[in-house]
Amino acid sequence: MIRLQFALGAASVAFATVAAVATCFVAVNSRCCETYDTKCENAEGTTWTCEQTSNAAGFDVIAARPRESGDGQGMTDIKTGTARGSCQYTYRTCGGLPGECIPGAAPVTVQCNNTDLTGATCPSTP
Amino acid sequence: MYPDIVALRQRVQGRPEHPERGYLAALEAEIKSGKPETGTFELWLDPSGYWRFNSDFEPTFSRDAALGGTDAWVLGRDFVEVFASDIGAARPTGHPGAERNVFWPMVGRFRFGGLERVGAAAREVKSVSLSGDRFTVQIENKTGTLAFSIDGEWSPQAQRGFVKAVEITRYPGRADVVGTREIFLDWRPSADGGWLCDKVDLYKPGQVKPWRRLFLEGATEVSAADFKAIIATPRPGDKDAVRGALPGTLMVVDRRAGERRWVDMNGTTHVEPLADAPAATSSPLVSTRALGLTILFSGLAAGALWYWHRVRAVRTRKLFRVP
Repeated sequence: MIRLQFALGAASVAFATVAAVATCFVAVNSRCCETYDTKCENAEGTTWTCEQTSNAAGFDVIAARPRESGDGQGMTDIKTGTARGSCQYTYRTCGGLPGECIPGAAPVTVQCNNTDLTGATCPSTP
Repeated sequence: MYPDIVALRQRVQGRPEHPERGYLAALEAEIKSGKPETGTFELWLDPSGYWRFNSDFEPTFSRDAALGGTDAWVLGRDFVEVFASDIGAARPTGHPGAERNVFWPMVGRFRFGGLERVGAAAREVKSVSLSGDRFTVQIENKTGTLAFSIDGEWSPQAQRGFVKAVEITRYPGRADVVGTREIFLDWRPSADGGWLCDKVDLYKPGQVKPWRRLFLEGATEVSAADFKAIIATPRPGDKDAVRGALPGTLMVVDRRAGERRWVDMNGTTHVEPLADAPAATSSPLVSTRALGLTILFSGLAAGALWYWHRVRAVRTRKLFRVP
């Protein structure tokens, strides 16, 4: 559920981490270092958006995700591939009241890399 | 150990996709460096609800966003991203309209002692108590699920009251919010005949030291011509009214046309389609811009002209307890 709230920049990070516990991966095109949204919601169900802002336009990257039904062949391991660029993010947290975002701490540098699939080939799924 | 960090670490642990992961990384870096972090923000507003909001963090981060009559744009390190200004309810990711959620609460604190923020959430006055020149007002929303306590002081010289503190006293299900306090210091007259609060301390529940300080460094009036230049959409190779000369290699991410364009170091122009569809260009729904206009004027009871005001350099400072 939470993953749906992010744009590709954040999702590519998640893919790489998830990959550590999976056994078969496929490559996907993704974007890294783009501004993405965090959805805020209070107890009454009012929602608003706080942006996690990047100072770069973003980069096309190849990410990896666990193979799903219908995917073709995958591979058993992943490793960090070619560097694509870097950016800085400033983060905002949801404020206590609707329509409020609290500008965050010092910028965080994010490095964008392609993910290379390695290891043995996994069979296609049914 | 700083309690927020502890709770944050627990929330994030084992969840790579957690929305606060980046925030935690920033806090950890700050604790490691031992230095309070400072950001500087600059805002230009006009009565139509158009604005430009610049964020700067030392030493290298800058990001500007603006909402004008036709274009809305973001200017980053190496790109300018351009959207249609009026996108209605379906705000595409990255559209600068969401920046209003960052700067408007700040403006409300400096200008109205946080009352605009309170008034948007709760309007039922439950009690008023007086003690000399001091007063306390209890306000809650219609359902009684959100309550504020406002402390203030009447100034015989200024012939008006000043907010001194605002506390959230009731908010079921939000233990992290109940008890948050904002202390308003250093009220002073502004050039337009109103008043501005120069310093606001923000406290989390149960804490005796502020976790953040907001400083208003100044507010000045700018001309219509200057404002027009300030919110003009930046173009590669042109001179921006605030940042100066822009590089010719600046990438233009044009969400209206659905493409990104840039000129490389060899002078070759590149054009690529964007993967996602262009944003909608108009909508009959009420936009953020219209909402901003309403709040701006309803809050300006002083009657003075608040035209092209430049709230210069609102600085935040976070005070962390190092573990």
